[in-house]
Amino acid sequence: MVNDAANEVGVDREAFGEYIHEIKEEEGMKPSDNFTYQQLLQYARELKNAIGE
Amino acid sequence: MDILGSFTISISDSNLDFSKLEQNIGIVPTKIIKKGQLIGKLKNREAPYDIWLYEIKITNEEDIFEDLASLLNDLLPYSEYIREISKSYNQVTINCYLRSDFAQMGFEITGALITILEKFGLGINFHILSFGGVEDK
Repeated sequence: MVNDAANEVGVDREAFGEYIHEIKEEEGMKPSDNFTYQQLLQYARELKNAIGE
Repeated sequence: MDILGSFTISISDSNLDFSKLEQNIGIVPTKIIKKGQLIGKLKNREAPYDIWLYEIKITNEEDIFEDLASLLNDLLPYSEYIREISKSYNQVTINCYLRSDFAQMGFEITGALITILEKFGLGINFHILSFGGVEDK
């Protein structure tokens, strides 16, 4: 799923994985709090936009 | 990548007394987040909590818990204080963030490490991202 979202948006999966964990950390999320596919796509687009800036 | 990630200790609440934490924990936090601060790569979301965070990156893929031991050793002089505040703050947690190419992962936490962890009165949260691969040979 994480891989699919990274591929669909066109971001490096390693960087995307790191970003997903950064979000979990900054939002104070519990380990069992997982993202939906739509949320993964949203965060992958955020990362892509940030890299592009 | 094989295994990437980090270990963190995170202290969070809706209203942390950062100066008190600074007085009682003699290490420099890796990151401080204040509730309402804009977070995320695009700074488009508000942080829901105050967070004091200390992080050590995983450097030893063969024995990732060596890096946890380093984090705990850094914090050991303050273990009593951390144990105490874990009763009053919303979340005081040790987190293990792991990212792996592989579907299969196995880890061993030694008794010695559990003994050190016990001094803090904390467990460990695991956040794992697996990319589902297998080794070719």
